[in-house]
Amino acid sequence: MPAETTHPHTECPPTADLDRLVRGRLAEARSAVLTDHVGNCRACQARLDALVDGGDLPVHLRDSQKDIPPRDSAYYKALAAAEEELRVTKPLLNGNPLQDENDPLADVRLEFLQPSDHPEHLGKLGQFRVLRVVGQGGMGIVLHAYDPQLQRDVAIKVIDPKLANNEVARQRFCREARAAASVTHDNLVAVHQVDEDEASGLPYLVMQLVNGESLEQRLRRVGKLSPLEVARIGMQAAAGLSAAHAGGLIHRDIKPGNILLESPVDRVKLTDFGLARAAEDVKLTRTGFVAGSPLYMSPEQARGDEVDHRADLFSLGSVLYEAASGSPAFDAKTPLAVLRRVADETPPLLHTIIPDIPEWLSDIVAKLLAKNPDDRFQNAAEVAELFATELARVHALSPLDVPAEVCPGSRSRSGTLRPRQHICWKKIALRALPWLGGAVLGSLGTWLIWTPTPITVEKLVEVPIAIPTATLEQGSPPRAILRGDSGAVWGLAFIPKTDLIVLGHEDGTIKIWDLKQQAPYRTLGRMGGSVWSADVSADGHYLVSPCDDSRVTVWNLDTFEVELSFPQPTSTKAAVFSPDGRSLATGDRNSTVRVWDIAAQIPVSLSGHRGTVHALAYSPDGTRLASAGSDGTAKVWNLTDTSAKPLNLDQHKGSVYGVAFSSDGTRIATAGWDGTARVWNANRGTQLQIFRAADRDAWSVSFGNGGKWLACAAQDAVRVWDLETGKEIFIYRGDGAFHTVRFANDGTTLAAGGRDGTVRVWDLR
Amino acid sequence: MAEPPLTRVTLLARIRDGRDADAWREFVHLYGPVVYRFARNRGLQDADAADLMQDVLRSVARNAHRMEYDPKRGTFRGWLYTVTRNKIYNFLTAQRNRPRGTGDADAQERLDATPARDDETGPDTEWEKEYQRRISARAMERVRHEFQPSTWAAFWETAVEGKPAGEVGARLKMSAGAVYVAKSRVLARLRDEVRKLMDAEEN
Repeated sequence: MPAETTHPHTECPPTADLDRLVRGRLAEARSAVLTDHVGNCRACQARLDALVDGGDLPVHLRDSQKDIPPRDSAYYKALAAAEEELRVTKPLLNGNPLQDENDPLADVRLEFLQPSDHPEHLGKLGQFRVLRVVGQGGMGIVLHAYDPQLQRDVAIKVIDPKLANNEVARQRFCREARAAASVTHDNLVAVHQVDEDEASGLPYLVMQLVNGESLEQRLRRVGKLSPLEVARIGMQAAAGLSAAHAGGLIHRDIKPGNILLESPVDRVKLTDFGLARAAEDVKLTRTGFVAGSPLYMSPEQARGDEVDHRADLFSLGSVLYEAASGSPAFDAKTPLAVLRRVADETPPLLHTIIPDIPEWLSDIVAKLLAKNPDDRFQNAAEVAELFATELARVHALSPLDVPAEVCPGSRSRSGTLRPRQHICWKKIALRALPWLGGAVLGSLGTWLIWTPTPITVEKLVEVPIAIPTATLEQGSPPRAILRGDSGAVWGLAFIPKTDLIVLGHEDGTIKIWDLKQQAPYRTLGRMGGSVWSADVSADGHYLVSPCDDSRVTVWNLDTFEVELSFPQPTSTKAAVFSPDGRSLATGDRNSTVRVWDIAAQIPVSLSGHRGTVHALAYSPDGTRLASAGSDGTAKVWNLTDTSAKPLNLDQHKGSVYGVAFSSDGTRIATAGWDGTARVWNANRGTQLQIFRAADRDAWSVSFGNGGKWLACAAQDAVRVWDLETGKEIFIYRGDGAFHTVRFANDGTTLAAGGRDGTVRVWDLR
Repeated sequence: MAEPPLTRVTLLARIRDGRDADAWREFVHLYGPVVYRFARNRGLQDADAADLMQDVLRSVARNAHRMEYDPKRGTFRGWLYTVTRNKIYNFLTAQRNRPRGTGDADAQERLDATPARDDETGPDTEWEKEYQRRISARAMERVRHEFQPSTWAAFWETAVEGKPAGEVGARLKMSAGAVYVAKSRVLARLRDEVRKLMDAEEN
């Protein structure tokens, strides 16, 4: 019934009361009475209008909703570009992995820090030395700090001092932080500790410092991601969510800014669990500049309904939609319009707007984006597993990418990874269908770029020699011990006709040592990730080193400069020269073996492995190539006919990590996850011998003494067997794993490197 | 000469400071759309208007620190209007005389750094209208989350869409009085926010 026709039952209130009514400053009962009155009193309705006097505001608002540039307008790009352009002039905001892009550092106040005696530190917070402000987000400030007790860098989130007096905010902050700290997973940013600063009384949480960038920064930089990249991120994010949900946590604010991509392999790390809710609860409006469009909110959140873990799945769907298409699923000019679209509209299926998106990816995202939570996937583990299965089906899955959460029950109750966790991956792989299309090779263009890129080349760096410490080592004492300080030794190669040996290290450095002097000779350079192997060409002039950052670099050993450097589509674990030095073979984490003609720089891809290719070895005549894969097989490829099927050596259980050819080309040796070293007939693929090398992983093998000996580096020891008698003729136990072993060309000098960063050299008789 | 009040940090002052990312973002989102729509209304195509918008914003970024702090010489948006108008003029001129050069870039920079006097080149009504629309929308973006969805809907449908309070109330299951109060509350809040934004913008 229209208000105009009824009569008020109460007296008209004074203007001051109406004013208080509008400002919400009346007691509830009085407010109810006046509201009732206004509903029935035309005069008071008019008084209210006069009091508020919005002028043309409603008209402007209406007009502002018209003529919104269409979605494909250049306007949006230009606006984003302008924002970006201005941003980069602000040095404080650059390159900060944890920074919430939406929040400024302009008014960060650090009065709560205790003074530091170190001039370069901002101050101290508890035991932590604060190095810099990383960002300001949600309801707190993020600091980069150093923990002198554990000697590591950490990120610390401190509640915004402005909110510290707000009891609700404070309690929320602590509660959510403790909840987050109780869940650990590879795809969650680890929360180490929740504490309260005694001096200032501010609660804070100490988190793992993640190097890399957020998905938001990535998308801003590259626009959109490839379908496989989207699926990989979806799989890992879902795995992280699954662990969090199992721990009773709901994120509530999954967005590109909260999905961190850790360098160098872009491992997904979700951050800021629960803090969204804490912020929401205290109606944290901040300055309101970026009260933000609720682009990734679920419909139930948009409606203000209760939410459960399935809201995170919707948000994940929104994020993946944007990552795949380059534009948000529910974009609109205003937050209100976004909310409407979130609630009412279904975005077009991804594969209908972007042709190269496979239907399965499109379908998963569409199901995540179902309006009704009951129509979505019911748990995150299901999503992670589905992504893993699909990725395996297109052979784009490395077991290293597979989060443990993919396999139900694969984690112990304490949340730590069980050591033997291989079967699940195989389960997925076996379910996989044969590869259908060329999706994986779609990036051909990128790896044909073989331009040498500048790499920092350090000239002759002094490496301090560590004082030997007491160890549990036992066995034949080494002739030389090269104690490095660059982390585990993954790759090792003798330079023929010299006393030099090249080492590839975990920290990305490539070092050359003089064996006679037992001293470092030269540092070649530092790469962007672990250097996984080292191989020197037969003539001794070149070194090839593949790196976890996906770059393969060829060094000239006469000048110690980079000869060639090219990116692979993904992290590359193996690279070896052919015996004639004319070609190069690489093996990456994406199942692919490539043989490169160095002159033509065009690769031939050998597809057949599933998952990571860990090691490669050429036959002495260069006509065959053996590869070791995490799919449990070693394969022997005929390089004179690359279309022919490879010979499969498939007796290992679990990954095969190492492979070697005997010098006469008749035998192949392998080592693997099952702790065995095996010798095979290189022509027929039959297994000839099997040696137990360790209870756990056996990493690397090498033939010595003209093919009479086999050395194996394994979890607990380096062993050498006489292949004719089958007897163990040498053993050296270390207190850490040995990852790599090689005989020099003389067939009797043996070098092994491993976890402790040290290389040991023996002369065997 | 009026001293700028120290307690009120204007958007311009914050931009001039050069380190206030918040101010930059606010500036881009407040004025970018005004410049774009103004340019479209002056006949520029989508891509050209977008380029021009970026150009104007960039120009402000480069020249903010050189701006005089004298409100008598004109308002911030008056200055911006001048920059925009000049750039549109240049663009249209260049289009007409394609073969000719684009003019003296330095002179243009100097011009950009000079605030316009309102009495000489006061923002025309069209510019002013775009500005009012934008600042209203911006205020909405900023306060929207402070209200319950039903409160907001009551406001929007009555004040903006002009529907009768009774009809809106019936749909939202609110009394007519509640609808009136909701409308007044939101409108008052928006009005205050618009004032705040304009205050921040004026010198």
